[in-house]
Amino acid sequence: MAALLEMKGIRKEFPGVVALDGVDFSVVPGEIHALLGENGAGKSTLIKILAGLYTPDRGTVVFRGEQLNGLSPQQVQARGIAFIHQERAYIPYFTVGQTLFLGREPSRGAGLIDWPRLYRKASEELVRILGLEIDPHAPMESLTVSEKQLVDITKALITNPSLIVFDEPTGPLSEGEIERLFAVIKRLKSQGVTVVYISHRLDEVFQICDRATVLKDGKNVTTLEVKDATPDGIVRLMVGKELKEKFPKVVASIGDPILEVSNLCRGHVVRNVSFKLRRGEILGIYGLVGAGRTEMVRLVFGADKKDAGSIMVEGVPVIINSPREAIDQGIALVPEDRRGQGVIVEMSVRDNVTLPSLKGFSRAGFVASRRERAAVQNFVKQLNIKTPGIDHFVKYLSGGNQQKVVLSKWLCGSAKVVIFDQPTIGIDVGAKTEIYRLMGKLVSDGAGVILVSSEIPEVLGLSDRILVMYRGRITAELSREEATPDRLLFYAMGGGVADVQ
Amino acid sequence: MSSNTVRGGTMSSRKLRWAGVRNRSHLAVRVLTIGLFVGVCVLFAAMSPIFLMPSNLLNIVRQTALLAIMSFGMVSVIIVTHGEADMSVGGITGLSAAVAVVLLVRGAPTALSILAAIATGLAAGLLNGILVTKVGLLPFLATLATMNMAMGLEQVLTKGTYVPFADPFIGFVANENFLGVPASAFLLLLVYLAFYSLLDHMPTGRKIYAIGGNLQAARASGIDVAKYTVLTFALSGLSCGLAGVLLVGRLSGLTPLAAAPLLLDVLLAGYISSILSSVGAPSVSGALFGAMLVGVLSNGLAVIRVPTFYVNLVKGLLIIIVVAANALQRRRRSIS
Repeated sequence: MAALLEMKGIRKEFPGVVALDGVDFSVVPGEIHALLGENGAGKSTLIKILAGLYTPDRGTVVFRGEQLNGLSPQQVQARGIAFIHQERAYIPYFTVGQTLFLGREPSRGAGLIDWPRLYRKASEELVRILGLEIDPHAPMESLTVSEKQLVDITKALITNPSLIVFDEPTGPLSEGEIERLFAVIKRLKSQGVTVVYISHRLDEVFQICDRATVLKDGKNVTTLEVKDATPDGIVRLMVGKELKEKFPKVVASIGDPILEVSNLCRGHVVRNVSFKLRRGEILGIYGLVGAGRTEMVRLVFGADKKDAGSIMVEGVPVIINSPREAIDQGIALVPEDRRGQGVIVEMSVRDNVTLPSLKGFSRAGFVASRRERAAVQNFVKQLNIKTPGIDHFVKYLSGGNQQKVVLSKWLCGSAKVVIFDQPTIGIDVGAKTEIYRLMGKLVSDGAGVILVSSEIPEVLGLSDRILVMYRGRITAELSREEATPDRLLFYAMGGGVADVQ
Repeated sequence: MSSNTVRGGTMSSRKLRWAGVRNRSHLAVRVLTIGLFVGVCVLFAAMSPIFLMPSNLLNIVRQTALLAIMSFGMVSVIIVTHGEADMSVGGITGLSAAVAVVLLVRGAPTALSILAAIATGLAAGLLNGILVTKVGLLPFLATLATMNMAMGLEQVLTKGTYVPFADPFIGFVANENFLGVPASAFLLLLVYLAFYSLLDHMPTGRKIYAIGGNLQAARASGIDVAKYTVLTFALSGLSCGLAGVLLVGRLSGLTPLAAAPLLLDVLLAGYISSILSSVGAPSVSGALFGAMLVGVLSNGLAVIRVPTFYVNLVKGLLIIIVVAANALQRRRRSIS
């Protein structure tokens, strides 16, 4: 069959890094084609070249027999390629309806927008495409992450594109929403729409994809039929490591409580949450999207204002009303929104790492740069951060490596409690393993770790104890031995809760 | 299907809560701003019998027309640049006025002079837009540079002294009444409707708002960011060109640099618009209100005989208050 999309010999070089080195990528009509690879393998770069955001140094892009090289993003989209980007971009003060029809507003003549029709059509399209009952008059900033994404997907599908690229679409979605998304993708396929699907979740690839292309270090490894492949086999192609290495659980000796949280409340979002974290313990917090996990840990970290509740660190009551106070108490948060809150992308690796602990590196008010450099270099080596140098800007690093920079930030100080909020979202298998190892190192050094995650295997594989949240409350506490996937999901979906309003 | 109903349910309850919280704080700011307007009016009326006299009220409208027209351009720039301003509005207005008056003095027809003034404003605005998008200057620096060049040219054209010229048509629009209302009020209404339609009800306006709201998202939506940014600066220049013509009418000629102090007033009007908006993005209608507030303030302070340097002090203070209120609202939004 003639290819719908044919990318041939693509090469792209950035200062100090060859991102793509002669990559071929060919998609046939009607298939769901997975694009796989570790972070930094070149997937994002390849897709950005397809989208017209980057110009390749060498190579050709041919879509439906037409050469796309040199076209602007608008021109590419006009030819029937739609993109659901990993970093969801939206305009905060636009309503859902305005977002959906941005750039193609229905007109009532004289160049004026027909608002009633726009909102009516928005309602129709939301229901028709993804079965969503979102108020089209709601401002985007009032939606949850997953609602925003669903609006984003709806928007891309309105134009009836012939090729849709999904860049890790399921990251922030709950199980139900993922199923609905897959139903949509399968329906698109039956209508003859072709899909390129980028994901770090292998089960998803096996659930919906026909073929897969694996990239490694900017080069093709192979393109294969998914039905002939095994998850282990694909992981081995991507990283050359066995899957069972995924959860290197470190059993540390568990000591006294290091963090005690009592009756933490914030509106309807966090209700009466109490728990203890012990030295050397990894405490998993599982829940579906909207359960209030992120909101809860943000209260512990002082990032939001709590209505009520008290916190003790090492048995001593402390007042935490700001992140600064939390950091002073030795509590660190590795946030969910990495680019927004974790790193400063316009600063170097070195500046990011030592930012919270500059005092320790200063002498008489000046930064002692030799000591600082040595410390940062040490982290880069230990954590295997892939960067051309410690003065390289963080924005040029891949997601996994950015996450490692965030971790170094807190390892550099001496945190007693490290809270990880969805630490492996959008990160490849190899970098994940390294982050898991770091958690192990933290607890063996006597710190306590809180791991907030949506991924059941991750929570099960790493936690000593698991709390399940549902609608702002802790609905279950399970030991490592008691916890099973079924049980986690049961409690996360509200099972066993007596008074569900 | 069951997840759909859950979604619908959480959505509506969440929305209600959200709307409640949001409206309370914003209502307070709006009530305060509008209260300030009313309060200032009452104060001026109490302190001077002149303030409420019909002739003075009409005078306020005439003074405000010029200011408001410039504010519409300014507010467009504030929207597209996410809070940055066009510093060159005073300079471009003065230059456009100089072009008009010099042509009129040399015997050029009124229509041609008006068109030339508007074209001058448009060209200067285009220059701003190109400096910002193609050269990559910060809007503040680009427009500051343009302001200085425009002021220099204005002084060259006028040779640095008052150039008198009373054009009957321009004078009529700027100073006379039509159907008992200042003719400039009609012009103001016309320009307001044009800007309001464009920004609030046309696809172009959506794009301008999108660029200011989130550059990446706008780009991902296939919007030609550079094109619409240039367009917005050009619009600002255009409105200044029009204001320049009015200025020639108001002054029956042109005093060099007479338009320069307008920058502060226009800035003030533009930023007042930002704090009036419930979503943090200013609007053309807000700019109209802002211009009215500033117009009343300028006139009232003059009527109650407050010395000019105190007037400047008050306006400078107001800018700080308004911009601080803006920043505060933005911060609150980013936290929630």
